[in-house]
Amino acid sequence: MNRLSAGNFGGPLENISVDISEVPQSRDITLLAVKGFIDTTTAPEFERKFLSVLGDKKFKLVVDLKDVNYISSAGWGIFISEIKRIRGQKGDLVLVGMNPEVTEVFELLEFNTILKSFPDVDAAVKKGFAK
Amino acid sequence: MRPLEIFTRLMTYLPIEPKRRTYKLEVAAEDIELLTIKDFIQRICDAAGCTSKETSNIKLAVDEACSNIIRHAYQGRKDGKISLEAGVGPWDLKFKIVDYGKSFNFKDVKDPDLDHYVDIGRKGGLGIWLIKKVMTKVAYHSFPDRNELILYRKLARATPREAGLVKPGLSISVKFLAGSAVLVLVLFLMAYVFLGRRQEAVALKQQRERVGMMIQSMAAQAGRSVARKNDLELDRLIREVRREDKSKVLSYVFVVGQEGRYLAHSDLTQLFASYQSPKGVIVQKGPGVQEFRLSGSEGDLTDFASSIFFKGEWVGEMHVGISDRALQRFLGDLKGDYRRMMVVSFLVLILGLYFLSRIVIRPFQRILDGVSAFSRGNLEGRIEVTSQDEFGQLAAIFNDMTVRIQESQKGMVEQERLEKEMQVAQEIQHTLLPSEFPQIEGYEIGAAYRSAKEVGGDYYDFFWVDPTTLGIVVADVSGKGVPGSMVMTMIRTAMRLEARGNKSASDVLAKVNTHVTGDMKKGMFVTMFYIILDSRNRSINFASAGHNPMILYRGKTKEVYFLKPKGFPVGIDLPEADMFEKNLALQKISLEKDDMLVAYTDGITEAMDPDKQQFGENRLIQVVKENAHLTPAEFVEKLNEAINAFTRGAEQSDDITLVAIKEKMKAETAVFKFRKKLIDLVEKKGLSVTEACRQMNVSTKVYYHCRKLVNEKGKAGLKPAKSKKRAAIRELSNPQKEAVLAVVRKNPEFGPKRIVEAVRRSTDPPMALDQGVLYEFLKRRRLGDEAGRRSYVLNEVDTP
Repeated sequence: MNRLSAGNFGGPLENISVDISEVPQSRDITLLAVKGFIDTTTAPEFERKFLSVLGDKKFKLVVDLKDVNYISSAGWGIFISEIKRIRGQKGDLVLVGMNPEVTEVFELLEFNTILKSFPDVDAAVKKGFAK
Repeated sequence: MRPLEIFTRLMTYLPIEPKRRTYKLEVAAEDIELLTIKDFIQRICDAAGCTSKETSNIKLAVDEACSNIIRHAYQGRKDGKISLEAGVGPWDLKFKIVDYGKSFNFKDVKDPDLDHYVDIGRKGGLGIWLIKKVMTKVAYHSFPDRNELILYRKLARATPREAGLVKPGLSISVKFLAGSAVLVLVLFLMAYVFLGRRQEAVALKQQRERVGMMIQSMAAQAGRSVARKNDLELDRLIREVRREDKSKVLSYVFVVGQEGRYLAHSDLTQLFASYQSPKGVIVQKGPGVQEFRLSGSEGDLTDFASSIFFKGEWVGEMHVGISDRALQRFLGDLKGDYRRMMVVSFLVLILGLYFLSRIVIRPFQRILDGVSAFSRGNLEGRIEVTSQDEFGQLAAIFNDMTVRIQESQKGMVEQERLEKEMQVAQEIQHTLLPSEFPQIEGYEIGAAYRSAKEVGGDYYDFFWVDPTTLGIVVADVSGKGVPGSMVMTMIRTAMRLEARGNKSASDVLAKVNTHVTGDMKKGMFVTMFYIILDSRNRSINFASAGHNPMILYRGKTKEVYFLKPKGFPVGIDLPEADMFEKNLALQKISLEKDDMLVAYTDGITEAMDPDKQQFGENRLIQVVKENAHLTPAEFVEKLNEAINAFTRGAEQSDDITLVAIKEKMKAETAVFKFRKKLIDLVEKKGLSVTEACRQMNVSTKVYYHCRKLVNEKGKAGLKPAKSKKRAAIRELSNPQKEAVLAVVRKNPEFGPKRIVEAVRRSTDPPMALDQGVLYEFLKRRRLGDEAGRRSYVLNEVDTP
């Protein structure tokens, strides 16, 4: 195994990016578009962004995972650790665009009993926050 | 299904590890290396042909495991290493992840309650659960120098063919047919080329001979007709010739008379025209027939001519012409027939071979069907053996194999059941063991317990006999598994019941024995060592039910004694009801400062290193002597280390239990402190005498005795005038035993008294023996009388 190849990946910051924007359809829903993967190395960066959104009192959150190919327990832990607080503020967190591999783990770990998921942002905006 | 595929499928049923391709990776335990690891896993999964979901799952599991190692095993230390070993089998992947950091209790990791996680906002601790979820099997082994996490994942690819191990190919009968067709074709072509050419030559020769013979016979017939110039007769003759010529090779037939005119001609227009002798080349000048090569309007031809004689006189000639073209046509027809015949026989042959191959292959098909059914899980199916040939043998071998596989599967199921049982037993056992040591005034206690992989059935317990007296049990149950655990539960309950308030160790054991003997399975028994520590009287009494001896280390003389009061193991059905009790001895000792008692189970002395060498008593004594100055807790730790160093990670078959006891204060001090407390309760705290005595658990007599002492000499009077005579050890120390046996070997006629004398004289410094103790020792060794001693010398049983 050559060790040089690992160096080419760069640091954790290059392996994740989180874009925060408003959903065009609805002003009070915040979209977090994540690119890259969420594991032990990148989870702190994601958590920082995620908590900053919550700090801005935005509690209706759509997390777009279509460009995420991998989520480890560190990532899942962030979602479920904050969900109570989010719902306590009459908000919710929904996941969209999970690829089949991520979906499988999502279901395997029974997170589907806790978090809602939708195929895309449109569906999530329409159905995800209806009371 | 193809045979190779079937074979590889069958392999999955055999209880053997498939051959795996292995890959290794070693990285530093740092976050950045997780990328290297993921990259490594990706490549392995690609090599193994995993689906993208499988790859993702496996990556996740290994990533979680390695993250945990970095976070928890090394706790962020940067100098750690992670070794990864991946094995790619035909149907599965196996990973071994090794770290050299802190171990954790894998079995204690419980599945998280997600709702609870949501409730308390917890985010960690999901890793192990995730690993267990995505992998088929997970195991964790902790060794003294390393920890191993084994991850095992079955792959979904259903058949070896899908796995790319077997390429789809042609069936045997098609292969056989194609092969034989090519072979037959080559043979036919060769036959056609060689035989065909020869046939052609033969046909031509036959044709010439036939024409020659015909023309000669015609010429003979035509003689009279020519002489008489009978045209009609000649014409009839010519027509007959043409009629005979079935293959239509004759271009012309004519008869020429003496005058050189045609008398008869197949071409009637030529009749009576004058004949010009042909300008050809004479090919053959036979006796009757002459051949000429001519060129005519229809191409080259061969002219056959025969002279016609009548009554010995030449009257004319008969000519027959065969054109080369007609002859070629004739040969062509002949070849055509020949080819048709070949094609037909080729087809017949191939058809025949096809049916033959079906017949030959049919039994094989049957074997194939049987094996396929087996592969799909029908383990009961057998193939009918109908012949003694190779197929029959194969079927018989297959049948035999299915039986074996079935048996080994049953064995595996049984094995699993046993393992499950062991696990249950272990759980029971663990709940029975005390989790913390009690504090007892004036004594220090250290204990250690280590379970072997299989439940060995060790048991130890602490309980209060009364508020100042502690009972300590160290026991070893003969049976393993659930039955052993049941017995252990029984013994524990009986001990705790009987121990309360009873300060005689032998009495308690005897009562426990009566309780449990009837309920224990025949052949099962328990060896027990029961020690009672009386913190008030500073005395210790103990009894042993067939247990291995307890070690006493005397700090003052640095000598080690094995204390082994006699007694049968608990649970044995003895011939007489009171035999157990009668045979059970009670011993008493008092500890002094720096003395230490070590009760243990034979798991220590029988601990084995990888070469099956036992730890043994001598090593134990050595460790005791070297570390007796430590506190019991430290000593236990040291002994544990010594055993670990000795066994070098070899798996142990028996549990190890160890209890060490040390005196913290002198007996006099303890008595003084106790008396002072009693007086203080009344004088300083203002309790009534009855109440104070009740709290201290003594009769009021004791208080008034103390009161009297204080009245006489003040508080100092509470100190015991002189320490009570310490209970003598009724055992010889090891060097003493050796000295005694040496004397016995030399002078078997010596009785105890003379042995004491002889030992004192032969040792330097002189060893003093208690004659009573010596006598007990001799009796136990059957050396009590001279006959016994003489037979000992004869047999040379010289184990000290």
